[in-house]
Amino acid sequence: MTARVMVIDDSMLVRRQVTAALKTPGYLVSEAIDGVDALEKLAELADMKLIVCDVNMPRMNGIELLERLNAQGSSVPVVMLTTEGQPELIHRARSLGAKGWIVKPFKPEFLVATAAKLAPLGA
Amino acid sequence: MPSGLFDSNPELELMDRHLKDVALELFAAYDVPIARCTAPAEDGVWRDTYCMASIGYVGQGLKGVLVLAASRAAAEAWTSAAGGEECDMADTVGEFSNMLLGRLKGRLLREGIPISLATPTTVVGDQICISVAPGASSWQFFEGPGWRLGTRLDAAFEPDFKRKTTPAPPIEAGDALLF
Repeated sequence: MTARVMVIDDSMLVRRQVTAALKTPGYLVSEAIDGVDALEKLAELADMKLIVCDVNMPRMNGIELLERLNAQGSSVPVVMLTTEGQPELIHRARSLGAKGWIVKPFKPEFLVATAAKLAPLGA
Repeated sequence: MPSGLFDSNPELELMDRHLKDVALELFAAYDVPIARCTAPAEDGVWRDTYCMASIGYVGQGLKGVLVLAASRAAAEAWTSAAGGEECDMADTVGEFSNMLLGRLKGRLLREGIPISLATPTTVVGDQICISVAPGASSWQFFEGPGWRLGTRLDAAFEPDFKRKTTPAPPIEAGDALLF
């Protein structure tokens, strides 16, 4: 069994880091470069089990994307992966339904453990 | 950095000190050897500078820019350290500038200087020059095995700028929270 995960980050370097970390245990990883790109791709990928999302991005940032996903009634769990650690931002994301917050640079094992909890491969 | 500038800008001195610390910590997190080094003989950046990333920031009574100036070898070394196979220099230097300013933001929050960040803008090319900032500005220089890095922090303070009572501390780089 596998599960599909989307990584949303305007940095290719980060997208590739996340993809490499999650592909190893068996996740299928899709990439988006910002919130706008993510919404377009999510509309075509109905089986998304987890979203890993940056906060500061051009066009549509991660908090704005959470608002949009909420408005759409999305139930896909979202984990924020960002350089930001400001409590107000974390509380805002949590109030919008985010399930986790990881500060870059991240440890791959943290990300894999988080994915395993929120989107188990055997489910 | 002339000491006279710091004498008249204690906040910039504080920011600059934190920037030095977070730069060393950031590269250590990737197991990249780094040390401070002396400034280039010429004004501004070294002649082998190939990438520059800048990120604007703003706080109450404060605004400025962080600039990273890196050589090709620096971008390649950092990409490799981050597990990347192909080096998009603009992307790598932009992301490292983002992580550096993100860490600095956390430190400044603890000091009662909350700031918000823009997204990075990066330029790539030979013989890049940078203009002299009109306000307070501070360069620091670092080197690793075969590469060099310059950071410039520009800050403009309004006359009514005041540090806030320190709010709740931010979570630190590498930390993870599950709600």
